[in-house]
Amino acid sequence: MLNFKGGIRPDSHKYTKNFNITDSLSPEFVKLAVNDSPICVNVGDNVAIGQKITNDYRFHSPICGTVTNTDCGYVTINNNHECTVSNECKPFSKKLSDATFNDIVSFVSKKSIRFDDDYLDTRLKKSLNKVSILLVSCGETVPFSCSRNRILSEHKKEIIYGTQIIMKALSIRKAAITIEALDLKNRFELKKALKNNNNISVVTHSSKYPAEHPKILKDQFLNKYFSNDRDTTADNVLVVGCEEVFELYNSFRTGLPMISRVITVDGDAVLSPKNIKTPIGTDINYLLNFCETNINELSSIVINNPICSSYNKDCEYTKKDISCVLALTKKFEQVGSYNCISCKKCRDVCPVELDPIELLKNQIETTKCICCGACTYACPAKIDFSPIYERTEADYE
Amino acid sequence: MNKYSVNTYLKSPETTYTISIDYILALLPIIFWSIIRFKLTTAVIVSSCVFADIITDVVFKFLSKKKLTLPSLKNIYGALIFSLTLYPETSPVVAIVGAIILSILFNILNSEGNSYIFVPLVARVITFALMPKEFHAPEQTPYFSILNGMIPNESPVELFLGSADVTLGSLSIVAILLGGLYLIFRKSSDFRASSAYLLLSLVLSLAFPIIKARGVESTLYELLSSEMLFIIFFVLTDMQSTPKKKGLRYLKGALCALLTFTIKRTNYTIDGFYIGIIVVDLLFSIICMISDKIEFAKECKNEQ
Repeated sequence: MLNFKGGIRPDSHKYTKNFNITDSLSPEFVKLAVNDSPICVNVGDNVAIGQKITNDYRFHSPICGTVTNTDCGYVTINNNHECTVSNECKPFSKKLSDATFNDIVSFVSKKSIRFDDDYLDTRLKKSLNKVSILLVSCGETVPFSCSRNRILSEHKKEIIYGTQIIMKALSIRKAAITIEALDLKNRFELKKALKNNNNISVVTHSSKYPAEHPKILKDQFLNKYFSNDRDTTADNVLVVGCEEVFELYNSFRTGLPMISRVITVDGDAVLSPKNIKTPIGTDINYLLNFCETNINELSSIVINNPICSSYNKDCEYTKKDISCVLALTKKFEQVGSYNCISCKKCRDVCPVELDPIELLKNQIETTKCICCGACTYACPAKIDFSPIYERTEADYE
Repeated sequence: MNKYSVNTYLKSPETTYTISIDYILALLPIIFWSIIRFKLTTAVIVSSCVFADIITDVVFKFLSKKKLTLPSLKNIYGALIFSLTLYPETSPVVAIVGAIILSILFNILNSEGNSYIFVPLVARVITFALMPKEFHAPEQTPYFSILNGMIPNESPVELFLGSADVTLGSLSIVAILLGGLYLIFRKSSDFRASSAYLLLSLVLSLAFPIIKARGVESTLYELLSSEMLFIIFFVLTDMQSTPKKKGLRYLKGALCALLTFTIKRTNYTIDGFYIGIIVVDLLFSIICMISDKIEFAKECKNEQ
C-alpha cells in the first residue's frame, strides 16, 4: 500500500457514497464562462447538444436551445428541452490498435476535456516521449465528495478502456489504477475486471487526506517503486483522474465533447443529497433547489473541497472543475482563532513536510505548498493558514 | 441565496481547550490518589500551587500592562505538574513560591510559543535551589534501597498500586498509567520521545542491572520506583518542549534516557534527575534553532 508522511483523517461525511448518479437534470438555461475564447455563435442562434460555441473548441453547448446572451465573457443558452445532437459529434473512427498519437490528440483537442488546470490534450502533448508510467487516480478522500467514487463504482470498464486509450496515445506499456485500500468492493471488482490484463495493475493507497492529490500520489508511487532513481523517474509519471479517462472514453464512443460533469450536492442544509450529472453552466441555485436545500438554515455554500476551498466568489454556475457543491448551515461556520500553542500538529500533518506556522509568521513564500488545507484542519488554535495558499497560488500565477 | 465561501470549513474537533482539559483530566487519578493517601497535605500543596499561579499571572499581566485575561488551562496544568513534583512532606510555602516562579517563567519564556523548555521542571529546580530544606525529601525510598544493593520492602504490586513515598506524582504507577493511557486514547500527545526514552531505559537497565544477581527484578523496581513513568507520560509529551522534527523527538527521548540513567546510577536525587532533563531541553533548543535556520536557508536557496 502506498503511504505518505503527514495527512489527516477527517470525518468523511460520505452520505452519497451509495447513491447512483442521477441523470435527470435539465436546467432552464445554462451560462458558460468562456472568458477570452473567441465566440462563434450569435444571439438568437439555435444550438444543438455538443455544438461548439467557441472557435478554439474549448466550449460546447451542453443543451439544445437558443443563445440569448454573449456579453462579458459569458454565453447564455435557453433550453428548449429537445435532444438534438450536433453533427460535429462523431465517435472516434479508427480502431484503437491502428490509432496514432496525432489521431488521438487531434480528436481529443476538439472535445475540451478538462477537470483541473490543463486540458487533457495539452497534457498529452506535454507528455509525449517523456512519460513511461501512467497513474489513474480513483481515490477520493475529500469529505462529502463522492462523484469520483460513483464513477468508479458504476463505470469500471469505461475507466479501463479510457486508460488504454491514453496508454496507446503515449505508447505507455504500464499503468496503475490507484484506489483507496479500504474501498474493498471496488478493489475486488477492479482486480476481477483486470484479470486478463497484464499491463494495468491495481495499486492501493491509504485513506488519509490528501492521498489522491496528484503530487502526493506521484511521490508515494516513486518512493515505493523507484526509491533509487527517484529524481530521474519523477518526470516520467503522468497522473490523471478516473473521471478524466471516463470522459475520454465517452467522447471516443459517442463523439460528444465534455458537456457535463458528475457533481456531488451535499451538506447539512441539503435534504436530498445526490450525485448529479450536471450540464456545464448550470445555475448552482437550480442545483441546490433540485436537491431540496433548506434555505432557512443555509449559511454558506462551499465549492469543491470543504477543507481548503479556494474557489472564487463569482462562481454562480457550474464549471468543468467543480465536482462538489456543499450547502452548509451555521454549524460549520468559521470560529475565531487563538494563539499558537506550539503543538507542531500543522507540521506533523503537512504532506510535503513544510512548517506552516513558520511560513505564516515570517510571511515566507514557497512553491512547495500544495494548498491541501491539512494544516488549517488540524490546528487546535484554529489558525487560518490560507494566506500561505494565496501566496503559493500567486507565485504560480 | 448566493453565499459563496472562500474560507475553510471543516476543522478538527480538537481545540486548545480540549487538549488542555485532556491533560488535566489525565492528572486527576494521580492527584486523587495522592489526596487519598496524604489527605489534607496534598490538597493544600496542589491548591496553593494552582491559586498562587493564577494570582501571579493576573498580577504579572497587570504590571506588564498586558490584557487582563484569566490564566489559560495550560498555566493551570503547569501548576499541577509542578505540585506533583513535590514531596508529600513539602512545606506549602515552597508550593507557593514555586508557583510564583513558575508563573513568571511561563510569561517570559512561553509568550510566543518558541521555547523548548519544560517550564515546571525549571521552576522546581530553581525553587529547590532557593529553599532546599523546606522540601523535606524522604530519606529512604525504594530506589535508594536498590542503589544500596537491597531489594525494597515494598513488593512490586505495592509500588504499582501506590505505596512508594517518592514525589506526589510518582506515588502510584496505576494512577500514572490510567492518565497516560487516557492521553494515548485521546491522541492529544506525541509519544515518540516517550517511547524512545522507555525503550532505551529498559535496555540500559537490563544490560546494567543494579543488583546483578536479580537483574529482571531490579529492573522492574527501577522502572516502578524512579520517576520514569511520570516523565514518560507527562514530561516528555509536553507539546511546547517537543522538537519540531519527528526524528529529533526520538533522539531527545533517547538522550534523556541516557543522561537520566547516568545520573540515577552515579548521584541520584530527584532534582539531579530533573536537571538532566532540563539540560537535554536546552541542548535541543539550540539544535532546533540551528536546524530551523539551516532549513530556512535551504528553502530560500531552493526558491531562488
